Amino acid sequence: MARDRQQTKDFVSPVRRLLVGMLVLFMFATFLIWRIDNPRVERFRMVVIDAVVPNFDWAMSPVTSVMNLLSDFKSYQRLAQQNSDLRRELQDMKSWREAAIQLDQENARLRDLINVQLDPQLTRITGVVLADSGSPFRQSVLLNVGARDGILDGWPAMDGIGLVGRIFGVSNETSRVILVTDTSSQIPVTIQPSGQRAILSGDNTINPLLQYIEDPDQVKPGDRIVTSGDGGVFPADLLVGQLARGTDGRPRARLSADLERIEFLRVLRSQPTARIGEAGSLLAPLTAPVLPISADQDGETDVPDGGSDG
Amino acid sequence: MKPTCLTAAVMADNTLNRRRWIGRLTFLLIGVFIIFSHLIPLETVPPSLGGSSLVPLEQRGATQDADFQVEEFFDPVRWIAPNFLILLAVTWVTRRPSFAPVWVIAILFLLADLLFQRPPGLWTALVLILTETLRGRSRSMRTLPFWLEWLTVAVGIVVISIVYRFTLSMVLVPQGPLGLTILQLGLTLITYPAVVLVSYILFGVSRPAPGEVDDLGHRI
Repeated sequence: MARDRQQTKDFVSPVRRLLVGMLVLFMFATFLIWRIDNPRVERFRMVVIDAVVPNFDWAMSPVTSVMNLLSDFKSYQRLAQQNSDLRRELQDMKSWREAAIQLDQENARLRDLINVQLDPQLTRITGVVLADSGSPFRQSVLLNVGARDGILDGWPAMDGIGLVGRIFGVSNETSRVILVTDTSSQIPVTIQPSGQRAILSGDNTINPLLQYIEDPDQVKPGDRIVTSGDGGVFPADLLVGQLARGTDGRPRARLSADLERIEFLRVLRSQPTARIGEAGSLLAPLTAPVLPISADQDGETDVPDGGSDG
Repeated sequence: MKPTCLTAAVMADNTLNRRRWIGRLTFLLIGVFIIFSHLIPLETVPPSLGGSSLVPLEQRGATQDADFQVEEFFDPVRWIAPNFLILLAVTWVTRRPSFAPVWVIAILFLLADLLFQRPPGLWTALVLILTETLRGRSRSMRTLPFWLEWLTVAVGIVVISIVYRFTLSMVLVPQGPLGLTILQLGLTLITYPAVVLVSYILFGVSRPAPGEVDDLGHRI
């Protein structure tokens, strides 16, 4: 019997070795293809995630709820302390509220004066967080809304208060949000009130770095950071957080969003910004404007044709 | 051979096969469980041991004459987990190779690569090479004292981690910070005995003694 097994093993071994070798080669090939044709493989990855993760939601969401319940329970232990903290905070907030109401009224009056139109296209879709990145090196979450709900790549995701990240990878039922703390996240921001432009770049810590500040002398800790809308990726003026100095001396952002407890995210439908392809078509519209006085009546009026020389 | 004896041998083979398949299925299920426990959205902040990475900030009160308040910031604490998936694979491959067939390992790690946003394929390929090496040595490693087995596995994991990092830097893929990687690697190596113990107690994955036979007289 034992001799039999030995013989089959000897017979199987080279074939097996060949198959394992091919398997390893296949894996290396997958990696190379990923490196060469990234978008296609990433799309495949999103399809796999779309097929796998929602199926396990029944198992994952109870665990998530129980863990959240436990951490809530832990916070009951220091209820008295929290209560007095909240009371003090409420006092402070009341005065802030007064200030805000006054400013709001003033703002409304000023808006009325200059006849401003608020952007009606900034609506939102709320999604539930299904899963996180599963790795300490990447900071991203998976939402249960996707192409089915009209989500597009690049849209910003916020919690109730501040910016959390941007959509990066959409499949039919799910979409991935790269958090601002991820190392691959770079977002153009403005630091108010000085109006300095900077880039908010994640470095896998809870407080992302602010790089390329135009004039670092003009910003100080406590300044507000909002998105600048540069590059046409994000709508402008979404709250990001507050500028603070890191213990390493570099300017960092203290995020307004609470990344510790993300359960729902709001994905903002950012309106398609006008794409400027070439310098020539910068100003003139593609179709000739309808002139109040036709060109025939006034022979000297030059109608621009197709905006090629605008 | 008598016919009865033949039937007994066939039946014995069936039992052996069934046990092997149950072992494989268990291995696959534990792997899937580990992957999904990592995906539960509780780790949405970057790893940190707490403490404070920001200088305290002076906040202005709401009104002009309000006092300045100093606000201190503390980072949320988040531990990083050892890489349980690779520990599972090397433990089972070293101790009971028939329970951890190569295709299950390939599927598990490729799935993990895809779900964890890693470059797909590279880590899987390296793990396959490591587990196949260990599988080839598993027979001779039975006689080793435990610390030598631990050392062998540790060297294997360290080597493929270095190759992984080196390859990624060769093809210019952005990577996590080195300190964090080393921390995780250290945690992983320290956790090996615990994984071995749990595998033994809960799932009966033990190192067969040299020359040990199962109930049916087969060499394991």
